[in-house]
Amino acid sequence: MLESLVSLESMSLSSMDVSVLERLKWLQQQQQQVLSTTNASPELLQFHGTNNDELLQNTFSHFQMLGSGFGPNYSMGFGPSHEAMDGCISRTNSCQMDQADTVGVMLKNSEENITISLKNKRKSEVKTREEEKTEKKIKVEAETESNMKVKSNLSNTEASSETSKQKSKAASETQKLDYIHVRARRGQATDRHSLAERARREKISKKMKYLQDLVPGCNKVTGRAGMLDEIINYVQSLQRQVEFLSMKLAVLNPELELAMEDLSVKQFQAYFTNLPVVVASKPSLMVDAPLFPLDQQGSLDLSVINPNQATTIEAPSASWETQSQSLYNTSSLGFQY
Amino acid sequence: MNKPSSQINSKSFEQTVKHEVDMALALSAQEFAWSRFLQHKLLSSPHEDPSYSSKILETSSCKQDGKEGAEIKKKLKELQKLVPGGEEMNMEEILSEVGSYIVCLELQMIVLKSLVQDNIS
Repeated sequence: MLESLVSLESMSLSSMDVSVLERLKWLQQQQQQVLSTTNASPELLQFHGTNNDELLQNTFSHFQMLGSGFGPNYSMGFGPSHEAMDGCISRTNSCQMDQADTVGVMLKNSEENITISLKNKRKSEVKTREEEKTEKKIKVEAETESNMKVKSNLSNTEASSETSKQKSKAASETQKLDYIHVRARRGQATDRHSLAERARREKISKKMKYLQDLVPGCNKVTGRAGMLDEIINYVQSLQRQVEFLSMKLAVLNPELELAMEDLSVKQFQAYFTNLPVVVASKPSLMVDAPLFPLDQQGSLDLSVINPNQATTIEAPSASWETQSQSLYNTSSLGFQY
Repeated sequence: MNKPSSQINSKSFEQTVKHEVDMALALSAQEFAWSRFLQHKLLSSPHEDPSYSSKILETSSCKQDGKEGAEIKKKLKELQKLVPGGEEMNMEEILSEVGSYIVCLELQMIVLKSLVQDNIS
């Protein structure tokens, strides 16, 4: 096996870099371990092929090369000729399709370590774009596998969000409800209703805790009533501030010529949504929205609108806010009569 | 040049600005019930006062009662009035909606502040 590796290296030095060689060696070691235990490497390689058609050609070909010491593929050409490798891969793909399930099971049981450690190994190396693609895919594989593991662990409890509750309470008895697994404390009633009630209360207290983190100053207050008080005050103050700011904004822009009697809100909004269109084309679109009195103005410099973003805030609603901001920007430029 | 008289238009202009600000708030987080409610309300009746001030007046005159359960319920009712669409929510829903509403309000404030700053400078 070492000889084959040496020959690989000598052939591949011209086209690959050192990190890839390291990986090769490491992969080969892994392969040896795998082979000793499961004896499934050709199928493993082919499983990889079936799984991802666009798997990185280099690494797949390495797999093939490594395992090919045992198989007939050894005589196939190495090197950077990807077409040959593609031929290899497609062939293996076609003949292993039906075995994918069993191999999949084997893969999950024994090869997870490889894929996950592969992922880790790859992270530490210099990445090319193709390598990144592979990593993502294998990561997805690993993630789905870990998800399935977790799911199998939780199949008894049926509610993963409740595991933390289990840890935090001292358990004397447990009882399974339909969806929620709640542990009862010592001496507490365990009939369906009280457990449901307790689960509900747990949910509510969790939410209150979240709100406590959100609202400043809630930590000092204890008890639900006090916290609710704080929350109410905070929401009120936020709303008041928003109202004040919007009034201030309105006051600061009296130059905006708005024929408010004619203007319906839908037109207003439509104007905003049309704004990029307006910039691109002629200003004739503006005639409908009576915001800019074109008849009174010689030439409205529309090109100023979009580039003139003085601030770069991240608006909550993507296009709407920036357009309204640009509107206010142009208004501050002043109108030339 | 015929400028429309600003006195008549300022209030409705303010209303429009407020309306648009609320709409931005509603559009900023569309996964939540309060956002949908707010959107509906704004689209159906555009020039109504979103009436923050009236709500504030109501809550300030509220007194605190004896038992805690009743107290909490009262506070929840107040919260219901504050959050758009809160009338139709029970306790659990309100608590989950309030969190997102608070975050979006804070965000809205940041945006408005920067808009105002923009116009001042």
